[in-house]
Amino acid sequence: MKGIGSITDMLVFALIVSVAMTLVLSATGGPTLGNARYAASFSSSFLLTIQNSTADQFGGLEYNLGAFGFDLPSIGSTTKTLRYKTLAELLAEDALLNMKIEVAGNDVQSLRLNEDLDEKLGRFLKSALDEIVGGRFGYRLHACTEPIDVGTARLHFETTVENLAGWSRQAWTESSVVPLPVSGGELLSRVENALGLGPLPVDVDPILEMTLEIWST
Amino acid sequence: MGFAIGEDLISAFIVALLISFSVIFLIQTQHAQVERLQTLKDFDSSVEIAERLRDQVLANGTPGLLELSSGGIDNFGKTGLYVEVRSLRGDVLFSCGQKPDHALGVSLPVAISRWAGSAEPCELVVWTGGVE
Repeated sequence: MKGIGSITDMLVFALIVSVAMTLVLSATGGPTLGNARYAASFSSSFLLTIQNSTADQFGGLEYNLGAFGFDLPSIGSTTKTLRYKTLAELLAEDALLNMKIEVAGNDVQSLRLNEDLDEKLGRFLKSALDEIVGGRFGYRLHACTEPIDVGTARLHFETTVENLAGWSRQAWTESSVVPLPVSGGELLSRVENALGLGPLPVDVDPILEMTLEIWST
Repeated sequence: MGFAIGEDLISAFIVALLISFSVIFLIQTQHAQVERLQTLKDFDSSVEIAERLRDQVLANGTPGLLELSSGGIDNFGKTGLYVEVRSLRGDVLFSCGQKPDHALGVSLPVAISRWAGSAEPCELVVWTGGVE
């Protein structure tokens, strides 16, 4: 019986050693830490790259001036081509020209002559970002302005470009801010015109915040 | 209280065997852990070097926007370093250093300045460690 007792003790001991080793190995998490470090570096590089790379390297972005699905009837050309703006500047321009108006929680259709930019830019950015990421990670890029609240109305812009097919775990999130191509005063004046209101007692910050999520397997 | 020689010998043998296995397992685990930490350290160092190249050594004042010349890298003073800048189509636009044999490479997206007002997205690849 003494022998059997010793064997049982040792089996328990061996089990405890195995569990302890497993815990130690999982707690140090070498590859996980390495992935997180790389994902962090990749995220900051990605945000810098879209702030530096110009649209001409992806063939440029062309869109038509118009509203409510119709081209603008005019004598000259209604097509605009954007080539030498960076990808982040295109997003900032879209944010400025295509702010959405919300009244009591509902989107209000307004006259936006550059609404085609909003639609074309989404596809353009998806293709460009897919090329830049090159399948190394999944990504979700969310861009938004700070909402401007004016009584019951609210103006804001937000858009998301993502490719998460086949990626299951969020590895890193990083944010960056780009300025809108107008001053705070000019932006407020545009808001006042869009809403048909007089001078508004609000401060606006003319910036676009980009938040990038990097996803891994 | 009598001797049970057979039973005790077998018990002692099994105990010795289990202790041996545990010790071997412990040593193996420690080796594997040291190796993993070293790999992680090397990888971390490669990422750090890639970030310095991206933000300072190859950048001409704008982080992430590179000017392709080996002058900056020559003064960087890192041995066993191999740097490549590839276009998104995979063409090598710039390389510096000796091509490594068995080493970890780190790749980061960057943009390179083409001419005033135009910048091309590329890939910066940095290897550190073993050289052929």
